Formats: sequence, C-alpha cells, structure tokens
Amino acid sequence: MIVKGKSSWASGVGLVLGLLSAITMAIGMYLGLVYAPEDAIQGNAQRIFYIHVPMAWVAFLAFGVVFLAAIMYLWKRALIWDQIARSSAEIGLVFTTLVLVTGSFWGRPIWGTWWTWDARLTTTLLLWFIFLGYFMIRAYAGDRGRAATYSAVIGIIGFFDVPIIYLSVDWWRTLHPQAVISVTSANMPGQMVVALMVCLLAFTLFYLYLMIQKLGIERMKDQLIDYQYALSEREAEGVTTA
Amino acid sequence: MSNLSYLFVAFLITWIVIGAYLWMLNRQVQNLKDEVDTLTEESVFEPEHRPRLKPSGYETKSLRD
Repeated sequence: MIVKGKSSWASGVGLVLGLLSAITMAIGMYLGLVYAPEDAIQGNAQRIFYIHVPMAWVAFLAFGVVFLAAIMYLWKRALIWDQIARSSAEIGLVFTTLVLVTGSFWGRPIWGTWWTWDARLTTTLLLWFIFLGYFMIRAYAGDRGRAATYSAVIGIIGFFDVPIIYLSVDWWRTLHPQAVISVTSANMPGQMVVALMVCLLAFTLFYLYLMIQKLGIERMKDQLIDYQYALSEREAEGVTTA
Repeated sequence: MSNLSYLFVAFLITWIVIGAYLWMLNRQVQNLKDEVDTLTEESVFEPEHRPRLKPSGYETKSLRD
C-alpha cells in the first residue's frame, strides 16, 4: 500500500472525532430546535442562527488555517503545509456556501429579501469568490509547485477579508445585525447562549473530523502522483525486470 | 409556528449539502484506494526496483509537465 504509517492513527482519531461531533451535533440540534425559546419577533426563522453562526465560525477557522499553512508553505516549502491549506480551503468554501444559503433563508422572512448588497453579505460573497479562485488557480497552474505557491498567495490575501467581514457591521450601517455575543457578554437569553455554544463545539469538532479525512485524501493523491511519476521514469530507463 | 418553512428548508439544504460532501469524500477515498491497488498489482517492477513510495516534496514534477 502507498498510504501507510500514520494512517491508522489518523483513522482512529478521525473515528473518535466523527463520533464526538455526531453526538454533540445531535445535542446541539435538540437545544437549538426544542430547548431554546422561540424568538418573540423573528419566530422560528431565528433558529437558523444555531447553524448559520457556527458554520460562519468554521469557515473563518478554516480560512485562518489556510492563512497559517500558506505562510508556512511559502517559508518551508514543505508539502504537508500545502496539503493542509488546500484541505482547509475546500472545507471553508463548503461552509461559506452554506452560510450564504442559510443567511438567505433567514433574511427572506425577516428583511423581506433573499439578498441585499449589505456590507457583511457582500464581503462574505467576496470571500467565497476569492476561494473559488483559489481552486481555479490550482486547477490551471500546471505543475504542483506552481499551483501551491500561487494558491498560497491567494490564501493569504483572501484571509484578510475575514476580519473585514467580522467588523463590517461596526464599520458600515448594515441590515445584518451586530454581534449579539462577545467574550464578556451575551445579549440574549441563557438558553439561547447554551444552544449556540453546543452548536459551536459540534461544528468545530466536525471541522476537525473533515480536516483529518480531507488531509488523508490529499496526502494519498500526492503519493499517487509521485508513484506514477517514478514508475514512468523507471519505465523510461528500462528497469523492467519482471 | 411562524416562519417554520424557512427554518425547515434551511436545515434541509444544510444537511443535504453536508451529506453530499461526506459522500463525495468517501468516494474519493474509494477511488484512490482502487487506483493504488491497480498500480500495485500492475506494477512491472520487481519489489527491489519499485519506486520509493513516500513523497519527498515538490521536487518531483507533475505528470502533466
């Protein structure tokens, strides 16, 4: 087998993380849909909050990992950092897509529109396009080294949009509400805070689970390319002895 | 039960997308394992001549080059 070594360790950790995230996700969904009270003004649509906010957090976390891994790749030029960056970028892109979709379903009954060119929505859409570009560059760059370098630069630049998204509701007048929870205070009932915290934990565990799975796939892909390349070189040299 | 349909559809789409993504990851793993098995079985080299399996970094060029 090509992929050996740490794969059994990774699959064990992956299994534990998968189980933990499934359990906490189920608890989080129960807390968000049943335990937490219905919002007096927004009604049940407010419960989208319990997946929308954790998915936004996971997307930001994923792009933060891309940012750090991209810097490490440009510095060390080690394969593993590019594998981490592209794995995390894909997960970040999936969750950013879901943040935009769930936000739209939340906005329709509350704002009366599916979409508005509000600062937070627009900067989030921009982030989505940046990381779509990240994968387009990878697809068209040609050799792997060039793809890794170009995408690392895009990953670093793209991450600077994350603090802009976060602060956009303070910097500009927006339809999107300001943060209702901070490190020191929470502007909502305790039951809602508990449900949100459990959902944040569940989605964070789920991100770690997905990272382990995706990283394993990316490592295997690179090893296959190396193996196929080495085979073709050997064939060219005429080392066939079988 | 106000706005329940929006809540339902938002959750439904989220779990469908997440489920599809997990399924896609699983398919990728299966395809890669099949490819590895095929390569190992069809390898024309004696074991001592088989290429090193551990990737060494990006000094190895892509097959597309």
